[in-house]
Amino acid sequence: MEKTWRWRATGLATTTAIALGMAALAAGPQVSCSDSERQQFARAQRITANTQLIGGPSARGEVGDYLMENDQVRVIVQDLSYNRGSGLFGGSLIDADVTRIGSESDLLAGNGHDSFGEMFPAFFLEVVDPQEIALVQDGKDGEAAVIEVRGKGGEFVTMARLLNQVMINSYDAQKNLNRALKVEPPRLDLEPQVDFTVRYTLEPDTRHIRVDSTLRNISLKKLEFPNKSVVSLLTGALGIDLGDFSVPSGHVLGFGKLNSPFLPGIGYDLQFGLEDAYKRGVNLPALPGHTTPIVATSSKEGISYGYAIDVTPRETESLEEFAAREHFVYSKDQLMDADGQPFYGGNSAPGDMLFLFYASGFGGVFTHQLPEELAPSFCGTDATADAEAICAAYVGACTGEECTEQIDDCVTAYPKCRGQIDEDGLASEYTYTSYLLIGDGDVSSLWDELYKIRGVDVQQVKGRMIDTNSGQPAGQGETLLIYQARTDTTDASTQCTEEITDEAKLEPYIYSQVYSKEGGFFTLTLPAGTYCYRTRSTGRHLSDYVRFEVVEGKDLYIEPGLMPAGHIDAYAVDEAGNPLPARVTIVGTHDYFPDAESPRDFLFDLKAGERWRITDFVPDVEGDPSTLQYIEQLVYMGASGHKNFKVRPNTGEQTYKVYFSRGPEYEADVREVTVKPGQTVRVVGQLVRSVDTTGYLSGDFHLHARGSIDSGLDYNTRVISLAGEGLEVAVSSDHNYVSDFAPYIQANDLQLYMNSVIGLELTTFEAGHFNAFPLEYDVELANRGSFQWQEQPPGLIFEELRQRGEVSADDTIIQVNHPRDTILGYFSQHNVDPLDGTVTLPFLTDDAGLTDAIATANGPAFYEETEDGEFEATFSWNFDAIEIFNGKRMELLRHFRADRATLEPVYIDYYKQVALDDTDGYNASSCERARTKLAGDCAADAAADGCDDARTKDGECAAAEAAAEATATQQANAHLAVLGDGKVIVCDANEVAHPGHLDDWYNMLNNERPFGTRPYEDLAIQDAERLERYKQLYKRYTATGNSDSHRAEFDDPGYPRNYFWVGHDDPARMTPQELTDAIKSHHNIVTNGPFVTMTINGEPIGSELTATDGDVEIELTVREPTWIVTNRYRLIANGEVVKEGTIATEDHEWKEKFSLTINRDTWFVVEVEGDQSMFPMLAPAEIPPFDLQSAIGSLAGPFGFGGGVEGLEPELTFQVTPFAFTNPIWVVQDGDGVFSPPNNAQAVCKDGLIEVPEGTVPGAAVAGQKLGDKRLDALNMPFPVHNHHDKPVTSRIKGEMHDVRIIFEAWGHSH
Amino acid sequence: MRRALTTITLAAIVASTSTLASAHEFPQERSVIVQMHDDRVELLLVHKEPAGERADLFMMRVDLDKDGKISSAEAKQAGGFWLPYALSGLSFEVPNNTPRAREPELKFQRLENGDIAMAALLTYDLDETSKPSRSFRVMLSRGDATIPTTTSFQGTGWDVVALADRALSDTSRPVAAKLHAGQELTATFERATARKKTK
Repeated sequence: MEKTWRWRATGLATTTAIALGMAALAAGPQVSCSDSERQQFARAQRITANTQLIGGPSARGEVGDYLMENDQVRVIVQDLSYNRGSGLFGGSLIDADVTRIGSESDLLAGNGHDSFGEMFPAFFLEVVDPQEIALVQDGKDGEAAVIEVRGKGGEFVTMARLLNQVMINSYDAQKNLNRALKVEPPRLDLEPQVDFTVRYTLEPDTRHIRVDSTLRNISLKKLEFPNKSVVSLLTGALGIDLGDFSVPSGHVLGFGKLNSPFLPGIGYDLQFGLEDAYKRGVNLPALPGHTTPIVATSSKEGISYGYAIDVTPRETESLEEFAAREHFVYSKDQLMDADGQPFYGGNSAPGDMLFLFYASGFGGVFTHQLPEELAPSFCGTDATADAEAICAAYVGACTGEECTEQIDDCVTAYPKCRGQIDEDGLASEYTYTSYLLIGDGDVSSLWDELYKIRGVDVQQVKGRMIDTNSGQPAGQGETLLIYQARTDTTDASTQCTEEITDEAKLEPYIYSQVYSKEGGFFTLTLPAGTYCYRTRSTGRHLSDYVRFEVVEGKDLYIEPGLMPAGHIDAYAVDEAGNPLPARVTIVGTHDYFPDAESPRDFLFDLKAGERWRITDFVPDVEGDPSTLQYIEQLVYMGASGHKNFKVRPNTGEQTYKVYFSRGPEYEADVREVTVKPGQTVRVVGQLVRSVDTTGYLSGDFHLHARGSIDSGLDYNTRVISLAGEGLEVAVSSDHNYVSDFAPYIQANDLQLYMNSVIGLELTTFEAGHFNAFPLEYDVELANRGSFQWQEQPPGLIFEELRQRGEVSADDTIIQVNHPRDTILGYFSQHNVDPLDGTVTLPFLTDDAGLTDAIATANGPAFYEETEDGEFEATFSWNFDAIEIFNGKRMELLRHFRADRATLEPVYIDYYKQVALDDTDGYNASSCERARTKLAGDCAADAAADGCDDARTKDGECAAAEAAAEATATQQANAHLAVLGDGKVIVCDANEVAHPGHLDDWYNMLNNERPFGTRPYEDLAIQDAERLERYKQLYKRYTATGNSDSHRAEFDDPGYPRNYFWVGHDDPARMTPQELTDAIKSHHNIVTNGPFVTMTINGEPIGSELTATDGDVEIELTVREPTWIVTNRYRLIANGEVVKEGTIATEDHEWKEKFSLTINRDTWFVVEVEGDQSMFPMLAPAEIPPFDLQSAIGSLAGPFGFGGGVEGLEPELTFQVTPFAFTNPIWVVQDGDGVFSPPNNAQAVCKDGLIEVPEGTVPGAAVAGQKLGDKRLDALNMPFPVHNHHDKPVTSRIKGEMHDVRIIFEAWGHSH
Repeated sequence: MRRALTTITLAAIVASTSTLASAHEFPQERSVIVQMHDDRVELLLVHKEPAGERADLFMMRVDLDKDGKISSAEAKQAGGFWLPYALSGLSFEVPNNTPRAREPELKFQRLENGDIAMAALLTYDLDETSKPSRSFRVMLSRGDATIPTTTSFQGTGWDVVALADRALSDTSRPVAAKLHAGQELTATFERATARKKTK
C-alpha cells in the first residue's frame, strides 16, 4: 500500500532523552496467549447453541444469529428478527469482542466481555431493512469469512422518510411528494428503487471487520443523488438550497456507554467538542461536525472499539484524487465557502470522517459521498445480451397483462440503460468500505490495527508509569494520553504547552490513549513525529505535558510520572454507631477566575477524560469561599458503611468538606479534612433520621444500569448507590431489556434497607418511552423479556407489556416517561395538545402545511390509514401513570412561561427588523460594508478613498436604525401592554412553545378523553372487564417522579422519588402487589426532597369523597431535614391555584389546616417549593443536556430546520431547589356519586391573546389566577420561537401543482 | 399518458380560440400562473428582460447602492415603472365579480448573463361566492409589442374543469397554454369537494 496518507504529524525535531535500555521491560501481556501459539483462521457460521455466543455485559446475540470469528476477534451479526438493541432492524453487528481463551464462561452465553451496542451503515439517514442474510464464505478453505446482509431501505427516523427518498432514491420520492402537497403523510408501500448489500469480511489474524456497504440502482431508469427534480420542488417549498449537495453516507456507531468515546482533536469531550463544531457553523454542501481520522473508544473492561474507512485508491488514480471524489470531508475541503475558505479548514486528509453527533451511546459518522448518478443495473454488464431474456429475468415470475407491460417497459428502457453504462460510463452501484476495529481496551490498540490496515510505518513506544510521590510503579488501568505537538511553533519548549490567543486556544492535538497494564507497563505504536504525553488517574491531578519524539526506525522507552493521589477512608454510622449505607460528597473550593465563562475553563479537562466537577452554581465572588465550591468526589458506601477512595490532594491552604448524607429523610453530617499527597485521612459521619414518613415507602420507578446501551452501570454499583441515597424500592427500567436488581441487593447485604421490582423501559425510537412494572424476568431470552416495538401502535405495546406482568395484566403499571421530551416523548411525538389534551395528527390540524406532512413522525406507530383514505391517530390512553417529574428536568414540569421583561427585548428586536425591512433605502449589508470600511481602512487613514461615502452611509444607517428602534419599542409596548406583571404561556403559531408535564396532567384531570380505545385494542384485550374500564372516558392518571438515573455518582439516583402508601415502613416486606395497589389508588407523593401530605375531611391522597354541602377541611403537612428548606405551598383545585401560603417548619415539620367551600365536583393537589439550593446533597443542573434533539438539530440546521429565539425557552441549567406535589383527592359535590371533571372550554393558541369564554369554569393551563377569574393566559408570538421546522405554507393545492406563494417565496433562491 | 392528453387538448383549444397567430420572435419571456381561491385570485407573473440596453438602463435607474443586486427597497421603487411594462398587453377578468387589487409583491434578479427577471405576486380579493363554479379570463391585446405569455391555471379548493368551454379529463393537475397577441382564454373552475379532516 502506498504510504501517502496525510497526517497531522509534525516534522522531526530534537529528541528527548530516551532510556532505550529499558525497552525490553515494557512489554505487558495483551492477550491471554501469544500470537505465535495461535492457529490463524477465520470462520463464519449460524449460531446453533448458547455456547457459541460471545457473552459479556452488553451481549445481545442469540441462537440463530451469525457468528464470525478468527484467531483474534469474534463478532455477531443479528439475524433478520426485530432489532434486540435500540436500533430498528436486524442484520447489524451487535456483539464484538477479542477472542478470549481460557477465561471462564458465562452460564448463559460465552466467556466474552462484549460491551458493544451495535453498528450499521447509513446512506444519508436511510438504513438497511434486511430481507436476506447469506453466509457467503464460511472460511473453511483458509480464506476470509464473509457474510452478506441484503435488503431494501428502512427508516431510522421516520421524520426523515421523504428526505431520505429524495437523497437516496430508496423509493419514488415524487409519489410521496405528491402526497405531501396534498398534506398527506408518505406512503409506506412503494416499490424500492435501490437495494442495499452490507458485506462483512473477516480475514484470519486481524482485529477488524471490513464492511462493504453497497447501494445499487434496481429501477429501470437512471437515478440522481439527490433526486434533482424533487429537490427543485422542495427548494421552492421549503427554501432549502441543495445546489451542490452531494449525498453523504456513513455509519451509525452504537458503541454503548460502557465505552468512552474518543476522537482525535477533542479527545473525550464529545459534547463540547461537537457543540464547538456546531457553533463554528458550516454551510451546505458541507455539514457540521468534528472531522476525525478515527472514531475510537476506551474502556477498562479490556475491550475497545474503533471505526475508520478505507483509503485504497483505484489503480489509475492517486489517493488524493480518490478521496476528493469519494470521501465526504476531504472532497468538501477542496471547495471554498462564501468567504473563500475551505469548508473544513483545509487541514483534512484522505480518510478523515465527519463525526456528526453522539447521544445515548450512539454516534453518527458521515464518511463517503454517493456519485451523482447511477445507471440501472438490470441491463447487466454484457452488452451483447438479449434484452427480452434479461427483462424476463428482471421482471421475474409473473403472468398476465401487467407482467407483459413490465417486460415491455423494461425492453424499452434497455437501450438507454446500455447507453448509460457502455457510453456514458456510469456505474450502477456504489460501494464504500469501512472497518470496525477491535482493541484491548485503549485507543492505541485501535490505532495499532489501523496502522496495519493502511501499512503505515510505525515505531513501538514502550514504557512504565511511575507514581512521582512514591517512586513506585503504577498499577493497571492508569491513563497515558498522547498528543501531537503543536505545529504552529517549532520551538521545542512551547510545542507541548497551551496558549490562549485572541483567536484561539493553541494546544497540542490530543491523538491517542493507552492504559497501563500490571506493573504500570504499556506499549503502543506511533508513526515518527513529535508528541507530548500526560498522565491521568482518578484521585490524581492531571500531569503537565512532556514532549517526546518518535524517530523513524527507532523504538522508544518512556517513563511517565503519575501525580500523587490522596486517600479518604470514610465511615458512616447511625445514631447507635451501627454502619449503614450512605453517600459521601467531597466538596472543595476553587480559586477565583474572573475571566472564566465556565468551570471547564479551569477546574477540569474534559478532553483528557477528566469528569465534570459540578460547582455550586452560585456567581463567583472573589474572596468568598461559599461561592467557589465544587464537588471534587462523590462515592456511595453499602451495608458496611465504609469506603476508601482517592481524591486529588489539597493544595496550599485548601481543605475539603466531607458531607455524609442518606437521602431526604436524614440530616447531613459535615466534616472538614485536609488531604495531603500520598496520605490517607480517616473520617466518620453520623447520620440521624429526622423525617417521619410512616406508612410510605420511597421508590424510584425509572432506573438504568448495565442492561441499557446508554448506561452500562454495574448492577452492584447501581443498588449500592440507591441504598446510599436512602431509597427503599428500586424499579429496574433498562432500555428494551428486563433487569432484576434483587440478586445484587442480596449479594450486597442490602435487603434490610431496600427492595426491588422488575421492570422495563420499552424504548421506541421516536414514539415514546414506556415503563412497565412489575414484570416477569425471562432468563432464556437475551433481553430477558423485552419484545418488538418497531412500527407497533402504542395500544398494542401497552397490552403486550401487561401480558408480561408478574402479578397480572391488570396489576401491571404502564408509566409514560418524560412525555414532553423532544423526539423521545410520547405526548410530543403524538401531538397531544398542551392546552386541552386532545390528540390530532399534525397533518390533519386546521393549519397543517407541507412540513407537517413531510417532516413529522409517520407510520403505523402513529396512525392508521383507513380504506377510504382517512387517517386516525393510534395514540392510546391505556396507560396508568405519567412521569411528571423526570430527574432534574424542572424545565419539563410546566409549560414555558415568559414575563414582560423577557418578552420585551425579543419583541423590540422583531419589530425593529420589520421596520428596517420597510425602510426605504435601508440595506443592512450596505451598512455593514460601510462600517467595516470605517473600522478598517478609514480607521487607519480617515482620508482614504470612499471614507466620506462610508461616513455618510453610516450616518444614514444609524438614523434609520434609531427610527426603527423607536417605532419597534412603541409597537412592542403596545403589543405587550395587556400582559401586566404575570407570566404567560408562549404560543408559537398554534402550538404551545415548550410544553410541560404538570400542566398536561392538570388538563387530563380536568377533561374526559375524546375516545377510549381503538378497535385493534378491543381485539387484543381479552379481559372484558378490563377493556370496559379502558373505555371509560375520564381516566385518573397517577403522577410519578423518578430520577431516570443512568449513572451512580453525579446522577443523583432517587431524585426525584415517590412516596407511595403501603401502610408500613419495611421495604423487605413490600410486595409488587403493594406497589401496584398504591399506584392504582393514586396514593403517591412526588418529591425531590420535601415530604408533603394532604387530607381532605380526613381522607388521604388518592381518595374520592363526597361533600354535598361543598364544605371541605384540608390539612397539609410538610416534613424535611435541615438541608431542605421549603418556603411556600399552592393548593390547586381543578387546575387553578385556590390558596397559597408560606411554610415554616419547626422541628422538621409544618402543618396547616383550613376550610374551603366548593360549588362543583373538584379535585385538589398541593404543590410545595423552596428557594434554597440543595447543594451539595443534590447537585445543580450545571451541564447543559446534549441529547438526541441536539444530535438531530446538528443535521437539521443546514437544511433550514430548527431555530428558535434566544430567551424564549426554558433555562436548562440551574440550582436544584425543593419541589414536591401530591396526587389528587377528588371531591364529589353535586351529590350524584360520580366525579364529573370540569370539561371546560380551554384556551387555545390562536391569533393573539386568548380569553377563556366568560362563564365557564376555569380549568388548567395557567398558574397564579384565582378561581372564577377571567384570564389572559397565553400570548401568540408573531414569529417562530419553537425548535420545530415550521415554514409557513399559506395554502395548499392538490396533485402536482405548486402554490404560487411558495413559488414566489422561493423565487430567486433556486438559481 | 394523461398529461400528454391534457397538453394536446390544450393545444387544440388554444389553436381554436386564436384569431391571429403571431410569427414575431420576442426576446422577452413572460408567464402567468393563475391560482383561484375562495376569497381571492393570485397571479404569479414572471417576466424576463434579456440583457441589453433596456436591462442596463433598468439597473442604472434602480440599483441605487450599486451593489449589482436589487434589494427589496430598490425593488419597490422599480415596481412602479417596471410592473406596468411587464404586464403590458395582458388583461384579466373574473365574470360577475369585482376584483380588488392588493399591493403587489415584487422580486427582481439580475442574472449572470445580464438578464433582468421579475416575479410579481398579484393578489385580487374577490367577492366570495356560494356558487359551485367560477371562471377566469386572460386576454392578450393585439399588436406586435404584446409578449406571448405562458398561462396556467390552478386552484386551492377549486379545480380547473374546462378551458374555453371544453372539459378537461384530469382536473387534478395544473393546465397551461401559451397565449399570443390577440388570443384569450377562459378557465372554468369548480369548487373541489373539501376533504373532511377528523381528529
